[in-house]
Amino acid sequence: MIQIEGIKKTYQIGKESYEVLKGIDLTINEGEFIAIMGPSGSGKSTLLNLLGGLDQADIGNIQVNHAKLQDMSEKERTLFRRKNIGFVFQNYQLLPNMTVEENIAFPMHADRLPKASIQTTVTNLIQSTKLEGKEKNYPSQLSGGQQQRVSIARALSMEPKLVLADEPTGNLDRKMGTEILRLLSSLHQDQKLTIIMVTHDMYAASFANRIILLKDGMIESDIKQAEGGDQNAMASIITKLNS
Amino acid sequence: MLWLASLRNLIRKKSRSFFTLLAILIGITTMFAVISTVETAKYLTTEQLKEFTGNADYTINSTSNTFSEEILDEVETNSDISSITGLVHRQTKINLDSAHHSAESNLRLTGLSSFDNELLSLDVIAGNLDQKGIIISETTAELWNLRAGEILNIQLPKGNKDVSISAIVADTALLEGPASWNEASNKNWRALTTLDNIQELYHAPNQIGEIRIKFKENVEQISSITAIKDSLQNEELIFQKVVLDERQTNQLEELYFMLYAIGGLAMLIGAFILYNTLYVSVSERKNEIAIMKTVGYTPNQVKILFLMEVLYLVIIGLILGIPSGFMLANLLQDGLFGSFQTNIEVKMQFMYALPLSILLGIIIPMLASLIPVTYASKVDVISSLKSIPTEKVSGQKKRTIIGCIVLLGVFIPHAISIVCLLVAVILLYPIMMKALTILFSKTSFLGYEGSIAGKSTLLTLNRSSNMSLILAIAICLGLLVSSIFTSLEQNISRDVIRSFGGNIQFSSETSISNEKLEQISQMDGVKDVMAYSESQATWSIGDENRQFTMIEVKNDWYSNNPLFYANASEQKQILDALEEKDTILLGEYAFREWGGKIGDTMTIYQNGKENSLRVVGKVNTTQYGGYTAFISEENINQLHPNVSPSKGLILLDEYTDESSVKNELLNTFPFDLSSVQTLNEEISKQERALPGVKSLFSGLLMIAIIITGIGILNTLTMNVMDRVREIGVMRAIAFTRWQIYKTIISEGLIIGLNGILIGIFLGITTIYLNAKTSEDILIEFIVPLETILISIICGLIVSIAASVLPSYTVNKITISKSLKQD
Ligand SMILES: Nc1ncnc2c1ncn2[C@@H]1O[C@H](COP(=O)(O)OP(=O)(O)OP(=O)(O)O)[C@@H](O)[C@H]1O
Ligand SMILES: [Mg+2]
Repeated sequence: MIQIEGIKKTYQIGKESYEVLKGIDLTINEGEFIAIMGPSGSGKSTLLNLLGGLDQADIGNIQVNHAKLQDMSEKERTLFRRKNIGFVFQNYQLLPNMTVEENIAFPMHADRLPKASIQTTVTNLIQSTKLEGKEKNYPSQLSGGQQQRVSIARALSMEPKLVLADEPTGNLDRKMGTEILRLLSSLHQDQKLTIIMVTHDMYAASFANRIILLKDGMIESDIKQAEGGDQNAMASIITKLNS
Repeated sequence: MLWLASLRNLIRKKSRSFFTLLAILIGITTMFAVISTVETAKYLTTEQLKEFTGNADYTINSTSNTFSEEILDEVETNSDISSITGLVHRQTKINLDSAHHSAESNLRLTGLSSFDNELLSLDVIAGNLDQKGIIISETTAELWNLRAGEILNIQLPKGNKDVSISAIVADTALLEGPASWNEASNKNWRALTTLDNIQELYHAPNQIGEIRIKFKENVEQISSITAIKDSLQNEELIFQKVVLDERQTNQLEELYFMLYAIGGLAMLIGAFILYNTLYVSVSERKNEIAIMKTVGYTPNQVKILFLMEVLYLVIIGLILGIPSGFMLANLLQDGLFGSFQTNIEVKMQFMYALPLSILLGIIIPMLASLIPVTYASKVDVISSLKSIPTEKVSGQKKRTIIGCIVLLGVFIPHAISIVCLLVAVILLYPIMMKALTILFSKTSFLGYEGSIAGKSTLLTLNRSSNMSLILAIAICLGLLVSSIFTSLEQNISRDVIRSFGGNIQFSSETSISNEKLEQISQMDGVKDVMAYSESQATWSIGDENRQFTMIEVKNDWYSNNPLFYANASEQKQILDALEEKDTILLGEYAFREWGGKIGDTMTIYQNGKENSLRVVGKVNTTQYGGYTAFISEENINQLHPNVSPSKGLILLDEYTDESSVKNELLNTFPFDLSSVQTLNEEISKQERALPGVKSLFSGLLMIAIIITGIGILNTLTMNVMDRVREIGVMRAIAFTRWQIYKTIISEGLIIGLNGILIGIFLGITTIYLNAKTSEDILIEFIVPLETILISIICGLIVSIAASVLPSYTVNKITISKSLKQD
């Protein structure tokens, strides 16, 4: 589903340039649940942003669903994101002046979908994310976990095949985090969604079936684990993280 | 180091600082320009009057137009007098090839007993004042294409005669002739010569028409003039104090008011923008302020920090605004005085404008910044981190209730109703804007993006409604001005016809005798002719003296061809009342200045006598610009026996050509008539002055709309900058750049549309109230459709244009960066 070849990304800070991604090659298949881990500043978010077309790589190719992101115009990339990718952010990034319903409906309105079908989709998503009764609430009136569920519902509204999540549990306590992870996990299993999740948290990563470890802008390791978690693999990641 | 910190803050928010600066700059520019323009206009009119009356304290005229020069010699002996001049006017025609038409060749010659005194200041450009020829102005010399020493052939009672141009002097009011050959058919050429010369050329030995006196300083003028009067013992002489009141001849008050209103509006918008910007600045920097306070900044230091920012902007605004104010003032004054047809050199006045605009340019922005700055200094260290700046809705209810109560004031049958309306609209604006914005969102004619924009507008209602309100006021002012002009334009010809007194008006240098009247009535096409007198009278208001022209009314002529107009129903009644003893009728302008009621008595000073006259009404006239009064033949004789008539009115048969009769008049009495004006000439003259003034106001209103545009831009920039992250999210998950543009432009449009709709409503209501309550019956309720259309278009263009930059700015920020903003 996703092919990444020789990606490099350099940021310019004043006169100094800083190479964040130093050549990444990666293939991701449909239906995978991937956790990207790595120390702070290793380029996890940068990589995720490139995958989602929020930013552009300096060198290299990114293909998502056979579409070459780097060859697209700005507008084509936006439309591609809208239709094919769902985003979930650490700090939820809900639109503060819109209600739960309106937040979820936002991408569909932007796509000019008919109002009736928007309404059904919203109702379904509210149900599946257990937000019944909160439809008219504003984000500031919700708990962190509820907000993140709204954000997931919004990410799913255009029925994307790929969900990119940057530390979705980063702001949540263990209980709420688990709820979110279970939700993502069930989406992955029931709807065969491809999920790429950046996380610091081993516990969160244990929900994934493949863990990619980034370090200094390079892939340090890439481990597939069987359903339910492979204890050996986990142990090796922990050693690597600590080293 | 506070000044450095302030400077850094300004530089950090470049575009915001820039637009705030621009607003202050335009405010200062406009303010300086209008104050200077009004100042120059006042200076010019006073100067013109002064030059015209030659700085005299008193004038002496005669009821029979001319009198003996011996009187001059006698008066001259009075030791209280510092300067004295005798003068006489006579008409002639010039024989120049450049004059294509005899109407273009009328020359008014003024003979003076002395050139060398303080009553006359002539600035000689070429030639010599002492020589025995004529003196003309620079402009006239240019048009005639004559130099000093050259010869001009003029027509005199005993045939043509060559006279030499003895001197050419700088343009002055006393020598103000036509500014072009075109103008010459309506305006006399002017030339000065010696009194002796005139007496000789016109075979009128010893005759003079007027004496002008200037007393020595510290002289008790009233007793001196009484002494002179007593020594002369001449009943025919009229002693008149010279009253310099520039309002007497010019009804410029309304013009000044409008100019001030526009200048004030510009400065107010600038201040509003500053207020907005600072408010947001403070909200944004709450954390920063909290940190500053924790490290030991006192509230006053925080205040100073922000005030320094304002001061920087104000100083830069002043440094740039004053020079550009000079430029704008120049432009305005060219436009304004060009349309008034004065060829006196226009020297820009800024004795008040400069200090005043500097002072206001500092004070107004400082006042505007007071609230946000105080707010900044009070930022609470502990709670500041948590709260996001949200607009306070408190007090909204109270505001609405007060607004509704004030709104009732529109039913007061007085001009105050306009103020009530304005105040009510200001108070009710947020709630009206809220309702309209919800309506816009409901009708969803701006689409999904529009509904998002509507929501954001409601969230920043205070900020957005301030700008929208200013747009509404600018539009209202535009509609009002335009309606007044349209009203004047439509009515002016009708009202000139109503108050012209016939088809032709003429005035004569010498008294109009019955033989002359007989001669005129024999002319082809002349149906009737009438002569009447005009005299000056002084009245006082408080300590100040005013002067007006009293026009002698002949009832039988006026019943069909009056020189004034009132309501049709009142006209006859007024004329009848005027027949009664000791009555006077005031022109609208004098009536207003006098301030009394119809039926009250007015005290008039004439020849040192006090006369009480009962005011029987007030009327409008298009013939006299300043203070006027009408008085019956009998009553004027009470004040002044036997004032001989020097003015005349002619009524023509139907289908008679006015200009052919005018020419015949001028040819029959080439040396007597100082002016002959036909009805049609007067109509076109009055109409000509309007477009110039109108375009001037259009220009100023354009400036107001442009500043409003900057204000909207400023508001939107702030609205958008508050929402960088939000917009980033929208772009990340679904919105294209174009959809972001659409959202922000919709926001601008909502502010604009609110301003336009409420502005038009406010404008039409103001026009209605103004027409209803105005004393001036020229002002009618006219809805200026064209201007409404222009306001809609301009308003839309301005609000769209103002939203382009903010949306561009926010779209330029990369998505990943904007997601990190808070
Ligand atoms: N827009 C930018 N401009 C300059 N430098 C940037 C920018 N975005 C990221 N960086 C730098 O690139 C490096 C990688 O950033 P990135 O956000 O990808 O790290 P990360 O792995 O997500 O870290 P964390 O776990 O803390 O979120 C960091 O050193 C960061 O300072
Ligand atoms: Mg990160």
